[in-house]
Amino acid sequence: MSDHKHDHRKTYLNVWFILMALTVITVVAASINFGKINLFIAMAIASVKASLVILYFMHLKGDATLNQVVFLSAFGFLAVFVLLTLSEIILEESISVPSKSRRINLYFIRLIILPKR
Amino acid sequence: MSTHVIPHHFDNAEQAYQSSKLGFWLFLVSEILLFGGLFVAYIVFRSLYPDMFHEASGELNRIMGGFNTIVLICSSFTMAMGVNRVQHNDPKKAVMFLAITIAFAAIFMVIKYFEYSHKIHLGLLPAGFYHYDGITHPRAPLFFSLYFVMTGLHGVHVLVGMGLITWVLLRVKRGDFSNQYYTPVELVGLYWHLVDLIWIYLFPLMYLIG
Repeated sequence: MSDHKHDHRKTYLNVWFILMALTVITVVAASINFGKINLFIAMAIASVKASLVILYFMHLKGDATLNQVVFLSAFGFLAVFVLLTLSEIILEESISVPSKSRRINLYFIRLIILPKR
Repeated sequence: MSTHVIPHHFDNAEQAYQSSKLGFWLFLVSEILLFGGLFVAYIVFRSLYPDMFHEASGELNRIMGGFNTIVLICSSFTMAMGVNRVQHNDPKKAVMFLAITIAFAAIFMVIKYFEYSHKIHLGLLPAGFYHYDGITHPRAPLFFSLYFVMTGLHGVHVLVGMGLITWVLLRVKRGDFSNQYYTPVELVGLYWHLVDLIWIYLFPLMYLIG
């Protein structure tokens, strides 16, 4: 428990302030139409906020390395989950709109993720 | 002050604390993957019907959603302060911060109640229950299925969190914790921050795409 000896209150206040500011920024940014970048901006801000919460409120920064690896692995598994599922959509699309480059992509996706029949 | 006895299968308090914490991080991983499944569903359907998501999201109340985001961030801050006060042998302030955290959680749920009842009133309901004429896209019920399941599951987590924080608050009041032993307070704190974390992603994905 030695990692809690010094006071974190000032850090908490700073993090709280930044989180509030980022919330305002994300709402304002969403009301301006940047086209397709809007989603990217919103997710980037959300990820900065999430990182602040994880690192300082949950003090993963300074926690045991094992805990850090365990928690961050969740995001690794999530990435696998998302990417493999999305590849299915890419695959569907390539069936309905077959172009040469897509067909090549499709071939590799099948090679990687589909079992041999 | 603390009457806590270290379970006999641990060498010392530090080891007991670290083991509890590792177990809790693993639980939080399972929570992320639980919500992760719903986020994957969201990503897949949004990539299939981007215009419908855009239109349907416009029906959500940004002001209420934004206010709730601020409420949860404040509650996360007061939770961190509460845990900090327990760790520094200051139970009086700890109880105060934990009580404020519960109050913020209650405000969150009250706002959610108003949002939900408005949606139910309009007929913006999941799947077959949907009966709203304002959106022309035939797949619009899908958005509200995701909205209710994702924010609903999150809301259940808020309610569970309120119960857990009340439990640690009562134990802090009873004098169960000190700078030598505060594991339950710390773990409930971690849980509460995760609830905040999930909302940080839910808010822009649900409310801010219209």
